[in-house]
Amino acid sequence: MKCEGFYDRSRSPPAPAVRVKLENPVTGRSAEELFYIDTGFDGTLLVTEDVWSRLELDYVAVDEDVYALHGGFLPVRLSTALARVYLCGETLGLVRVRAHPLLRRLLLGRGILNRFYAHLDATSGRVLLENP
Amino acid sequence: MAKGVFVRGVDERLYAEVKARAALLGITVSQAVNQALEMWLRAPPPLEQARGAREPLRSAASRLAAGRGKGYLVVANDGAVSFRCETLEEAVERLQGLYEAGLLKNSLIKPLEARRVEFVEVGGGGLEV
Repeated sequence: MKCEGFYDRSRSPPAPAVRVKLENPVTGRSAEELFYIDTGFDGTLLVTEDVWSRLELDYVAVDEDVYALHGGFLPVRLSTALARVYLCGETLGLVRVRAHPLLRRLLLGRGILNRFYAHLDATSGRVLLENP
Repeated sequence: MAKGVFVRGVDERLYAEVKARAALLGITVSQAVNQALEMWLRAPPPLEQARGAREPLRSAASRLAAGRGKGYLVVANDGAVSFRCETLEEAVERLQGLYEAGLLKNSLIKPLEARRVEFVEVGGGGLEV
C-alpha cells in the first residue's frame, strides 16, 4: 500500500506533509488532518488542543507522564489519548496520540514514519510513503 | 504607556534564568516579562487547566488502582464506574458500550504498571515563534 504527500511551499523552506485520518475509537468522531513529517520527533502523532477538542479525545485519555523536550531542553507536559489512525488507506490500529499545549502545526514523528518506506523528494515537491 | 510594578514572590532561580536569557537575546528583563505576559494572555488555556473537572477522575483512578495488578484501570463518570482490562482494545470497547448507551460522562484509562516518566524529543517544526 502506498500513498503520496506533498511539500508545503507556503513554508520556508518547504516542509513535507501528509494527510492522516484520526478517529476517536469511543465516540466515532473522525477528522482528516494535514500532518508535517518531523523526523526529529520521537513519538507518533502530535496534535493541537483544537484537534484534541474536536475529536473529543477526553473520552479516551490515558493517564501517563509524558513530556516533550525541545532541542533537549524545555520540558512541556503532554496529554495522551488513544485514536485509530488511518494512513495510506489502511489502519495503523490504536495509536497513542499526544497533545502539546503550544503546538500550532500537527506533527507526524518516527513512531509512525518508521513503519514505512519514506521517499522525501524536495526537488519535485513529492512525498511517497509505502508500507513494505 | 510603561508602568512600574513591584512583584513579590518571584522564584529566584527562575528570575536568574530570565535575566540570563534576556541578556543573550539583547533585551531587558522588562521586555522579556512583557513578552511572557502577552503570550500567557493570548495562548489558549492549557488542556490540564481547562479540564480541572478531570481531577476527581484522576484522584479516583489513583485510589482504585492500588493493588490491582497488571493491565489497565478504566475509571468513568467521576469514579462512579471502574473496571480493569487486560488490553487497551478491551478498554476502548467497554467505554464505547457505555458511550452508546448514553452512560458515559467522562473517562480516564490508567496503566497499572509502575508509573514512569517519559520524555520525547520534538523537532520543533510545529511551534511558531
